[in-house]
Amino acid sequence: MLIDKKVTKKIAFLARIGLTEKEAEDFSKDLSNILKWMEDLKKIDVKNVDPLRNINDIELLEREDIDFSKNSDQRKLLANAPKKNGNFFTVPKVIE
Amino acid sequence: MSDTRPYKITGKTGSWEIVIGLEVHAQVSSKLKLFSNGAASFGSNENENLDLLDIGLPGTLPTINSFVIDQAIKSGLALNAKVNNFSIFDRKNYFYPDLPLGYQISQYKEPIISDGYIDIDINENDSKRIRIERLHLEQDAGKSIHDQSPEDSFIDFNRAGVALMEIVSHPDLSDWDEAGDYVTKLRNILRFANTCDGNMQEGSLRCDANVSVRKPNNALGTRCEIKNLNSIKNLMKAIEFEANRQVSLLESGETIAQETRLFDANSGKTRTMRSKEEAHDYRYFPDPDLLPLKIEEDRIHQISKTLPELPAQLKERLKSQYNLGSYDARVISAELETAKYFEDLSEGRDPKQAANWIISNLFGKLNEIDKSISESPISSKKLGKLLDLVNDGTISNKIAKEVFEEMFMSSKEAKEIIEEKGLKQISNEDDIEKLVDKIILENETQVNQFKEGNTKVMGWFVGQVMKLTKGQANPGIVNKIILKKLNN
Repeated sequence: MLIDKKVTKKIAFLARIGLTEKEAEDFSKDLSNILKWMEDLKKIDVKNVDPLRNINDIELLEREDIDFSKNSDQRKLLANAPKKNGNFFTVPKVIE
Repeated sequence: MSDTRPYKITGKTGSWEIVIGLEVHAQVSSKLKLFSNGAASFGSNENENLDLLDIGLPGTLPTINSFVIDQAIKSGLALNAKVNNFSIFDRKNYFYPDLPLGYQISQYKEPIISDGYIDIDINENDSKRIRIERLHLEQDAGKSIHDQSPEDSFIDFNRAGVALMEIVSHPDLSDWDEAGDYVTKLRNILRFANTCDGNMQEGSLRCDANVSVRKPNNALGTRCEIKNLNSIKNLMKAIEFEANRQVSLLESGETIAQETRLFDANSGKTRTMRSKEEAHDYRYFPDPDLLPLKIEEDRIHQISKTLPELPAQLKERLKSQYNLGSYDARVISAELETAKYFEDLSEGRDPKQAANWIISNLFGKLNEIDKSISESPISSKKLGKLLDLVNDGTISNKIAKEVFEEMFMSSKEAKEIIEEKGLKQISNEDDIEKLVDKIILENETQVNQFKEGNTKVMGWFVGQVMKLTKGQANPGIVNKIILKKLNN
């Protein structure tokens, strides 16, 4: 197996996803199969092919740097916060 | 180019070489953030400069700020670097409350700028080239405040999404002085180019330093990264401490652990930052919300035409246009404000005199009160008026220094102070002659000494006149008259 349970658990931890032992096992198999398929793809000769970055033939759009006198309504944005205090969003204490 | 500075650390086992690479985060001067319509200004109320994207609300998409791209190109050109026609934005993934999206948009493998350099001065004649590996664009994170409540951390997202340029040097720096010089120079170049205001107090420029030590010509040692250095002074202190710490560990037979450290400005020491487990696995990948950034040669060319004079060019111009010596030119060109002050002051005046007053008098006083030239209580215009009074003979240079001290404290005009205190120079020859006559009459001993060939006594006579006039007599005229009278 290309990806064992330990690796799967690490990936899950980094993505903050909780897995049961059974799920960890199943996903290890799935992920290994995906990687194996990638290995197969690697065998194709793409020496003369440019990498495709996006399927659409469009260019990156740019935004103008214009002075806005006011941004989005602060109260409305804070209203959606799960927890707040005054003008601050608050979260359970993070200790460095 | 040469690398002639001696090794800074000699331990029990001999000399050690220090290897330093710096990552500088410079906030791009722009009105809006990198990918949103949030304002990029400093000093607003908390959570005021927010766009929906900045707090990661669903359904929002990034659109890149055109001016920020121009600013990065301009910075790249100012750093003698290559502007890449093709670059990619990637997601750097990690979880932290001040990063609502769970990733920072940055550039990983294909940055907008690569391969630049800065030459730092080693001494009057020698410089050393510090290579810049890359400059890339990325978003700043929000700010967490931990001391407002025992249970919660407070978050201010004003900074979230503001455009930063991360400027990464090669490990070409060999001691803390060089590191300080490099950041000073980099900051200046960006400020001259007007792409970053360089304000370190406000966090517009922050440094991370990678430090390792080795015996000369040996393989590279294990490095430690010191994070978030917010002043050049702290950067230098932190590197000095860290390099010495590593040397003493190695000399006592221990090993260096590769880790991230924090500098405590109060103790002057670096300490281990509790490492977030596996946090360094950022799993970069190209951001699917953003297409590759393509930059046409024509755009680069247009921007290169707007590039203002940079510190190195200014230094040369100061030498050729104003005839300043190397030292003066270097000091005057070191800060944008100093150069501007100098050019204002020297207009219609002797540039050498202007440079002298700035370097020996103004800087001295500013240092005493720990202020920069832009905060000087004496403007270039005011100082100019003082110099004019010296040059037209109203006051002597010596009195001018007294008036200058007074101006510095009181914010009054030179003329006011001179009138108030009656400091005007006495240039009237008749008045001075009368004084000299009196002194000669009353001091036969000294007159005889002079006549016997002791010319040193001349200074004593000048001193007497100055004493009687409280230093206000025109020294040139005093000298002339004393000589004339004594030789009679």
